[in-house]
Amino acid sequence: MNQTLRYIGKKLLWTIPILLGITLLAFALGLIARGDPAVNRASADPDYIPTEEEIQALREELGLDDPVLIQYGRWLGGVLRGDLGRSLIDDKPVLDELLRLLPNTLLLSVLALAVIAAAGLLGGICLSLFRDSFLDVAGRVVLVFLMSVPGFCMAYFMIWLFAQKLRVLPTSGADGPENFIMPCLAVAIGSACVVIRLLRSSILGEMGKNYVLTAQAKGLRRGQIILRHVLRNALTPSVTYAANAFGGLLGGSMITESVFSIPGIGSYALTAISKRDYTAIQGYVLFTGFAFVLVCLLADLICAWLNPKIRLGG
Amino acid sequence: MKKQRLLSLLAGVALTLSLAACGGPAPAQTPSADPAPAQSAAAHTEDDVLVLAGARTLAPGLEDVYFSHKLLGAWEPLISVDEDGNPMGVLAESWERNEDATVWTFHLRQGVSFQNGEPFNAGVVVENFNRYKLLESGYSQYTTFKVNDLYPGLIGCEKVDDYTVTVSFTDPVPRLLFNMKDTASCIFYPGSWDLETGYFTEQPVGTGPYMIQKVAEDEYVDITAFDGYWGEPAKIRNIRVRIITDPQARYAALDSEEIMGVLDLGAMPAALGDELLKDQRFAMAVHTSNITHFMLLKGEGTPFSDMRLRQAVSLAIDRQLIVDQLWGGYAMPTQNLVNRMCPDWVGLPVEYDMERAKELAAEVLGDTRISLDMYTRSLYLDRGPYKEMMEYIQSQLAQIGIDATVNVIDSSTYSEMSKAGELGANFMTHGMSNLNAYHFMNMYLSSTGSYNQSQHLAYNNPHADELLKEMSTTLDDARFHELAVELQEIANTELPVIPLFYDTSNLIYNQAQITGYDTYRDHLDLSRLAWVDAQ
Amino acid sequence: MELCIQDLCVNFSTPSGTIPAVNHVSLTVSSQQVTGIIGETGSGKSVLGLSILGLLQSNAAVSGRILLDGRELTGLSQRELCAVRGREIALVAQNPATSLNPGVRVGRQIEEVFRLAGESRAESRKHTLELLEQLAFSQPERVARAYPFELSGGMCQRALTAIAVAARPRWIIADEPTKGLDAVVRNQVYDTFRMVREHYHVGFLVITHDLLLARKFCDRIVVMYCGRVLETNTARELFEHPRHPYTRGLIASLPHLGMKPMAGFAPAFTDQPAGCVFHPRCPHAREICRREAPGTVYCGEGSVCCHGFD
Repeated sequence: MNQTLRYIGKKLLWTIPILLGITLLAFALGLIARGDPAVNRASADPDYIPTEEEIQALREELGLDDPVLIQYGRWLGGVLRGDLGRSLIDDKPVLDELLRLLPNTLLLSVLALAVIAAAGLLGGICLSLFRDSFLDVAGRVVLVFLMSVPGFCMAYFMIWLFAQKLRVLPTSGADGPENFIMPCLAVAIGSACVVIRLLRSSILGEMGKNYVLTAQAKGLRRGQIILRHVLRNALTPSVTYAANAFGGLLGGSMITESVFSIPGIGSYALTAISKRDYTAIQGYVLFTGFAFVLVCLLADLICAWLNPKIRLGG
Repeated sequence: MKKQRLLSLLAGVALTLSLAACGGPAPAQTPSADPAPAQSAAAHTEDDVLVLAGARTLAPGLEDVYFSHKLLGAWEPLISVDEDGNPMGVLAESWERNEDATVWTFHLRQGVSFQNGEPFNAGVVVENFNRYKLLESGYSQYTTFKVNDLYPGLIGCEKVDDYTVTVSFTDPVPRLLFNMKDTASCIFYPGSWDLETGYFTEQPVGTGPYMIQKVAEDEYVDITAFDGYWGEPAKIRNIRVRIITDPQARYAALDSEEIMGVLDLGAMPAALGDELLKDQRFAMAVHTSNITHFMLLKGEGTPFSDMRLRQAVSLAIDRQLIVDQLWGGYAMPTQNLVNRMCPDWVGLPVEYDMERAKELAAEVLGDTRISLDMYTRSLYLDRGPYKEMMEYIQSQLAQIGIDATVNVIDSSTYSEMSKAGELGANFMTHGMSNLNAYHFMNMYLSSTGSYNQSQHLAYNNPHADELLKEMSTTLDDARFHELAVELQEIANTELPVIPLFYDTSNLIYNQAQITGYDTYRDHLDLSRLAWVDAQ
Repeated sequence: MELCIQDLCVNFSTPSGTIPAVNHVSLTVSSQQVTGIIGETGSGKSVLGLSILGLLQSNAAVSGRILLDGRELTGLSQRELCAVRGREIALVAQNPATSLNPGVRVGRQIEEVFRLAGESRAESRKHTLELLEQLAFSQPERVARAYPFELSGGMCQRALTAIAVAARPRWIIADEPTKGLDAVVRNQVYDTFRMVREHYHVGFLVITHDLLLARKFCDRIVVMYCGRVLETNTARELFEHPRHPYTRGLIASLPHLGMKPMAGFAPAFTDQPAGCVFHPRCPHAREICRREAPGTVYCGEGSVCCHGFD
């Protein structure tokens, strides 16, 4: 237990330089990218062209003329006090906005992860159980097909089928749980297919190992062997993949959010980037960076639990 | 072997079920969520919520100087415009000005009350004018509130009696009423804004037919009819305006009758609209808008400073073809700078003549070919087939010796490049939100006009400058119109910018369920909407 | 109790052709005796062992019959075979280090067998600890909690034996039990098997190329080469009077007998010589050996398959 805590502590300490690095990088990218948040703020109304003086006044107000390192330092100081700053465009506190949008993104990601895990486990086990049977071959063809369909095509297809033709689900919005079914499937299907394939091949890989022979000789049936012996050893690559996918989802899925009109972190970041809203981008990068590190840590812990050799440092 | 087959079949079924199970709870829940199933053509009652959708929010909230779009009907202005673009009183019933147009007197509508029950009177208007004075550059995603442009030289607003106020200026403002249209004279109940910045600190209260009930940020806004409204009461009690960001999803939502209509800018791309119109349920309300699509050529240090080359470009473009092929025939080709909504607008010829274009271009360029980088912002791709249009123009320009490129850039890059004068040609729209012809023409035709300068047009015509100067001060409406016509003619020939066509806003609605979409003034009037089968 | 193999052939179909890993083998072994199958690597002895349990890969084609006390195993369904495995015939697989599941505690891997036999969790736990103690683990609790990688090769071997013994089978097939173990541990394996044999009266089929183990532990020896049985006899007879030249070569290569390696290499399965499969390496090969495959000649308690004994 102590060992685990120390491990977690070490990992968390490591996130600090990582987060510093990526936020600094995000700040630096702002230097390279063209576009000025002051201009964007002043010209929110497309029919209005701001004057040079207005823009300059805004730049001064927003502190955009200070050297980049000072701007970064100011931002970092705020972060240490728990203040992510205010949007350069609409002046809303970044933290409040992220927290407002987080529940949608979180709900979508967690549901998607559940779909990925459930479909991945079930599919992976089924396909490996009936290896080379019709189900396996047909299933793999379907998987390749589903994997190659871009998420937004899947989204449009589902809208057409479930909302327009069958009218069982609402097209878009984030009003109730039923609104999240299609978006969740749209973001999950691709990853779920990958997990099914990964799991199938790692189960089959494990099936060739000697311990499986021992298990067979005990009189265990194929299904029992997969569930009790093989699965645990075969899960690691799938867990790592699913964790990566989940980490990505926590950063918001911009396309799915926009197709289904779900206000989430992804669309927030998209707007922030297009408007060069550096504080918002920084907040987003910090948040997603932290979420990603946490998810990876969780995945590490799961893998260690699955694999005693890692856990016991053997 | 047979057993194996059976088992695999079972497993397949299980897999399908498990995937379907994720969609399981839906059918049970949706009947309640779906406000208007198609079959239940049973009469709609007062309590049925009408759901509409647009692409962007209509209630941005506290950081916007208007809090909500005028379309929602939460607030009303003193002055709006009628169908001909002439000023029309809303909360102001009548007005007069003194000889030199420095003092305007407004007689206010009586018997109007705010949604909180408080009366509308002169004191309220004075407070609102005090607020306007604070808004030097009031942030809004619709129309920036610039008090110095709208009310140049404003001294202040004074109460004469309970229903009369005077607004006085240091210099004459003869076209004040045009400036005051809608957003510029929005009236809110005092107390909801910060007395130092003018920005709202709480949701403001207006006098309009609808009250904003709930704003779910980035999702929807719910409005309910205001019982104490002074005008004709709203026909539908509850309306929800959703934000559906994706056009394809708006299309699907209309088709599934989740929403009854779309509204606001770029509500439905022409191609999707045509698709929906094949279905008897849907109809399109086509409304003229104050938006014109333009091509701006950088004149500073380029051959386009020569009027003949601009004329050549204009002559090389078959606007009717663009409108018919790319805009579904709904837009109207134009070569006139001023929008047709403006009361001072005149119809002027639109010419397409490739031979003449080639001659003019050859006069300027001789045998050399020049290159031209054409840009547009990515946001316009949602508004219509901009890229295709630019590609068409590219091919036309190639015939008159101009090798053009087509580029789509994001807004930030655009701002930067436009500032640096790097846009060879720029495709954009410009809405004439203020129907004051002087205001709009001054931006392009004056040698110090804001667009002339910021877009590096380098248009300079001393005669036009003189005419504009006279226009700004004339107190004679007839003279103003004469000047406006003359300037439109100058612009039509000299083409400081190249107008392409007047936009229309094409709103698709479910005619089997609702009426009132076609009764339209400047904006769709939600209070006119009604259920086809209302009880 | 008898395990009877009649005319068994196992062919693996691979992309490079059909591999006849077991070629018309007929054998009868009794549980009264410990039977050893010896031969070089690739002689088909492990395949023979696994084919009894029906544990060959899916690309194996099996013909012939395997009878357990008169009951035919070759025709059983997978489900029926599962009832035979472990409970009637158990296996001690080769490579003890990898034949235990690396992710599951050793105790649980043994308990599982008791659980399969229908015992409760508590019972199976108790029996596991008893069994571990019986198999000379000094700290059964600790071993039960350990993961395989925490145990030595010899301990893994004993744990595997425990798994095999747990369901009290009538037969144990031990596949290369001493492979990769050092001399001390090989002795431990012998002691363990001896104890199991005495305690449980289980029939042993030991597949090995460890001739010393075979000589010490087995009552009867079967010599295999290229998927064929070349010679059978009692262990004593076989080691004292080997008949087949191959057997003689094997014995001569034992370390304490001068460690004279046999000439040549076993042929590839896909390219087997005509006539007697051993003739290319046989010092006594005659013309007939090249032409005709020899028949099996029975004499005394044994048999031999060589033209020299026609």
